[in-house]
Amino acid sequence: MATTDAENHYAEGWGWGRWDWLYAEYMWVWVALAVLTLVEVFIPEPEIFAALFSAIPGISTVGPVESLIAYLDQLQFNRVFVVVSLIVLALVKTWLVAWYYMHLIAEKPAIILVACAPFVFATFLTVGIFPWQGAYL
Amino acid sequence: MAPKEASIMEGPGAGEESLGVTNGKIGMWTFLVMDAMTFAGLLAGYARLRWTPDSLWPFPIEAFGVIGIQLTAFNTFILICSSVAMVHVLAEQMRGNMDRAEKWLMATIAGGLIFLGIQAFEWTHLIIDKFHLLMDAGYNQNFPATFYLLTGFHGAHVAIGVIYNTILLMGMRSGKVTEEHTSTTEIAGLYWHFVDLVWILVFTFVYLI
Repeated sequence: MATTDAENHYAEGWGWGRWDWLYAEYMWVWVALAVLTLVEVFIPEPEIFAALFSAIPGISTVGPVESLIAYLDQLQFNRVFVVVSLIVLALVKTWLVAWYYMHLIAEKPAIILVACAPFVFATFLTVGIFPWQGAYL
Repeated sequence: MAPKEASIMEGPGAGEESLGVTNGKIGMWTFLVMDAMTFAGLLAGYARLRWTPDSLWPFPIEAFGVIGIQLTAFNTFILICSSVAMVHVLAEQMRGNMDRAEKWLMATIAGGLIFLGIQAFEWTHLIIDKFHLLMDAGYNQNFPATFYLLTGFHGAHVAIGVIYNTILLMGMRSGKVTEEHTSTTEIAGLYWHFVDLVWILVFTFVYLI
């Protein structure tokens, strides 16, 4: 019988046979992706969360929550911080998907190198054609 | 029978190996690398156009409105859920529980369809209610052009992924894809996770920044 990649990983001790661990690992990655998405939405527009809290009946009038809503309504992060943090968050989420869901964690180094190639290409391309003279964020 | 012929005859999960992984996986990774570079080109072009001085580019959050971002964030969550459902397909298949694998695959397909439905709703809303106002206000016409190109190109990938997964589901239902054919599912999963991965970048660059 021909062996599949998954069976090879099991044989090499990649953890494919420990089902509970595998299950928990992927679910934690899922939770992390969901939370990071919320953070991504929060950073450029904190007022979305103010509107969200305001819409919950019975909570928006509670003292501390009311103060939090007022604070979030006024909160604005520095533009450079917004851009840099959003790029970092996107790269972290990308890494989580590639490393755990696309199984790079259990892959041969050659495949990992192949997977990294587009990021190198993207970096050179973006840096190369970015309008550095006079660009603004 | 020669070993090569025997391997091909064993079904969709079989395959010759090179570099320690199946040729099927090498093929999918090669395609994904090429596809990722296409997306990289589109995103780099977007950055070039957007940050050119005096480009009159609107802030996406102001252009789409708060509701638009919330809806797209929800759509991102749907795609993340669909991605983890695909992980469960492979896990259940490896456990030999094909019934549960089929159910998870149906959930994966449903996630893709919901994503496409919400995107269709969003496009309709933007075409009818939003973008003509931005054009009237004198904003750069490359904004809607790049927006539709990037989200449309990604949407096409989602649609192809839904078809791909549906074919996989049909294979499972007909008994052609069994618990021994995990490689077939793993390769389909690679494509589906890639679609999720690219959306993370498109969502960040086109909607949030």
